[in-house]
Amino acid sequence: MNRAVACLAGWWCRPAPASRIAWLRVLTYAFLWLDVFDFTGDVIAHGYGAAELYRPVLLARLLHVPAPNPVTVQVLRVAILAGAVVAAAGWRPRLSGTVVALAYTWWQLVNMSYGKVDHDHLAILAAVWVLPTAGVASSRDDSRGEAAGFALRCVQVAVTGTYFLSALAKLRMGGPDWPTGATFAWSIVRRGSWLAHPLLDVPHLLVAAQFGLLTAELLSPLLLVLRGRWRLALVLFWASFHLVTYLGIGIHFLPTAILLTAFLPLERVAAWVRRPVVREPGYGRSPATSSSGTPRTGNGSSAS
Amino acid sequence: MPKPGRLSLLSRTWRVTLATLVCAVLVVSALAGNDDWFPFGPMAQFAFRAKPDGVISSVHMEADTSAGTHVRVPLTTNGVGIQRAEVEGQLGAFKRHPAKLQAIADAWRARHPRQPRYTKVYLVQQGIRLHDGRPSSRYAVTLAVWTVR
Repeated sequence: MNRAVACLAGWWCRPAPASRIAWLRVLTYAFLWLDVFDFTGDVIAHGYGAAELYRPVLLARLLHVPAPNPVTVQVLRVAILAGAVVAAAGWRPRLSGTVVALAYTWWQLVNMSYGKVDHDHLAILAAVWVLPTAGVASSRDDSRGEAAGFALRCVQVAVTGTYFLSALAKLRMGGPDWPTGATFAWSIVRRGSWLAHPLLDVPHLLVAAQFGLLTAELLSPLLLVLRGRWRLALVLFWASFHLVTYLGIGIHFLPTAILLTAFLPLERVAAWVRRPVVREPGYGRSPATSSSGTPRTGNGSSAS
Repeated sequence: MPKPGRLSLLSRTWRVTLATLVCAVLVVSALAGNDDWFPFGPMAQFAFRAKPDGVISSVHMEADTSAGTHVRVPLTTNGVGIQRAEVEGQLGAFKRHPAKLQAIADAWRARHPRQPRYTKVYLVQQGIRLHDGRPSSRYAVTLAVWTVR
């Protein structure tokens, strides 16, 4: 029993580089700007709209979150935007990150309390809550720590859970014969683009795609198991799935898609971008002033 | 004190306990919860099964205006500040209490003061019948009408 607990704890807290958390923070908090101004910008509109359309979800009722008004929505927006900048910069990340988490959760509770709940925000909400727990994390510090590892693991689990739990929901609500239905046709009729509409004439292809999606969702925990190229391939599969659904039915699922990056060695990407550029001797001087008069080819001249 | 990079027993315990608990709630919610449980609700997007010989319905609103025109109500953020899916999520309430449509007219007037006002708002459901997964015929019914005060 004790060994099982230790093993579980070891899995949740497997050390990860601090620098990866630093980069994940930049991505997450930058995304909040996009979310607040674009995807969930309705919250501002709700603040100025009719309070009688506000139907708070359970957590909003438990916390007595009032119907939004112009003051609350503007204050929340400023708190999220300003907090995100401070937290992304890594200044007092526990404090600034917690402020962002509270304000952003409030914002989303309001957003989801008008009769329609979106299901693409689980991972981003998990990220804003767990990133502060990693504490100070510099993009130049590649040393591994358990606090960073835990935060990273939570985001990975939330992304995987978004896919896997979608499969459970389909089996529960749609039934085991969900894939043989016309759910994709339904979504194309209601919100399909010109790219997707021709697919309505090939119902069998849509059914095959439904089988494919359910299978992929059921296998999504492989994201947590696979390593290296296989993991990268699976991440790319999900990223392209989101691209296709965006082009086909206008659903981008970005709050989840952006956090697929939690499966990538972000610090290596950053290191590659910052790699020292090997320059030729004489680089930048005009040939006319060059002493020999001929183009010089020094060491590594091909590695520019 | 734990070694650099290691968590103390306490820090480790609350993290792992909370994370495991949240995972448990999410699984329970997937099996028994509903949208009301947000942010722990089931991932129910497209989880329903549309029948290959069923009907695909969607809702929209129309309005008579003070300029004597009949227009489509923009159920968008910048239109009346509420989206189609949100109206559909509250469809029962709109049908039972057509007076809620007053809020739509008020929101239009508040956001677009220079545009003609709505005098009458119609809640309309459109349907497309499927046959073997292919669209075959269409219909439309008015679910509620409200004369704006």
